[in-house]
Amino acid sequence: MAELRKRGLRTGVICSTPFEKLGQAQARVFGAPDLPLMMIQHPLGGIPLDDVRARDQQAMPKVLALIETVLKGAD
Amino acid sequence: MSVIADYLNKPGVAMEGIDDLEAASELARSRGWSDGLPIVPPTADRVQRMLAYCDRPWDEPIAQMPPRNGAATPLRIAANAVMAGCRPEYFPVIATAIEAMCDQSFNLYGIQTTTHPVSPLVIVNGPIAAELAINGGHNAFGPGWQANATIGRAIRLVLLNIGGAIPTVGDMATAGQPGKYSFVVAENEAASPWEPLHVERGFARESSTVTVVGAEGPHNINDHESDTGEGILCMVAGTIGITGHNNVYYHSEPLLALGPEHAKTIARDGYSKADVKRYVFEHATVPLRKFSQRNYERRLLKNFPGRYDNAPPDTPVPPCQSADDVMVIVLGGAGKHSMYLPTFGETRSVTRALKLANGREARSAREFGV
Repeated sequence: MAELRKRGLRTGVICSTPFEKLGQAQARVFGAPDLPLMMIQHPLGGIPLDDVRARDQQAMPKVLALIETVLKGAD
Repeated sequence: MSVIADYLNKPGVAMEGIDDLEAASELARSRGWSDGLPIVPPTADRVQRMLAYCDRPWDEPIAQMPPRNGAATPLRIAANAVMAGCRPEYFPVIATAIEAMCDQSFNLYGIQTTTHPVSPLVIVNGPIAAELAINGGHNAFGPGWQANATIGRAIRLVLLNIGGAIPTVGDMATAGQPGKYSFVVAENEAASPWEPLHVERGFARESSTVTVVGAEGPHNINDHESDTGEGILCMVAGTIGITGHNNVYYHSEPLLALGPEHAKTIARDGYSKADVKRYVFEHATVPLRKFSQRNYERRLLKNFPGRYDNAPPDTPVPPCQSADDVMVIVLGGAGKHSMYLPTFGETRSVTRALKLANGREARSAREFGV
């Protein structure tokens, strides 16, 4: 994602809460410190499908906001 | 004064004026340079003595170490080796291990950052092991040997301080494992009835090599009762054939460290090392019914397309993908115990010979002396 962002594409990463620091550090390492991290509640694995859908609801507004910035030409 | 001495004596480069162990350890902890244990202060003098066993340029990176992509220069590695309590003559083994684990096929990025309890295990073969007193006999994974303890610790400090495997920031291990403090052994070649690991991999017996394996902690294989090679191998296969490790899901290399007494009995009964590998591959299997439905669907079906579609419940799932992938070494002293070390799975072990900067293999650490 960082590589794509450096190439000019608007990208983001959906990330569960314990991995936020790792995501931030790796975004810096890979040269995209402003890479958006769209946080969702942990865990994503090993949970019922309904709970996965709830995570989807957490992430969706942030994904839509990112798309909106692309459509407006801002970032 | 040499260039390296000039550099090290610049203000703020080396830890000068803090030769008190408690103060130095506190400073290292406060700056996040520590594994939690006290350190030896990396003064200019100590770092220079460590670099006396390095014949490469001190400021040219041996590798870029993930996840931080830190430049692993001899100077930085030497500072960490001093902090770990290493003798200077250990440096070539440390540098070769660092170089080996930064090979792409080792997947150090995954090993450093994963939730899995994996750590690079270093296996030393050849005459360098005896020269540096690296233990491969009694209690090889245990305490009491400066080389094992401090070479492993130096590597961990490099993984932390250069690689950036800081817990919760770069290293996301769910629980980790004790081998993350130090994880170095020598193969007990003198007690092995077979060719040692480095010879099996094409090196001369008199070559000194370092093999890195992305391994879990060792699990014991107790067999005091079997008096045949087949009996011992039956118990070995029973211990390896489990569901909860990564090996069954990937193109992996499970590591079997046979105790010398087990190895001797197995060899006495006519098994070559290749026979042992084949036995493990064919018998250390798990019936498909032992996997949960979700693991069957999401791991086995996905990772091995077509192999397990509509397969009967007793279909054997092997511990790796070929007999050649089973790694076998001989390790330890007297007693009826062997060890199984599952691996991270998505990693391949890497073996490198100790080489001088001119490309020639080194027979002794002393050859690195400059």
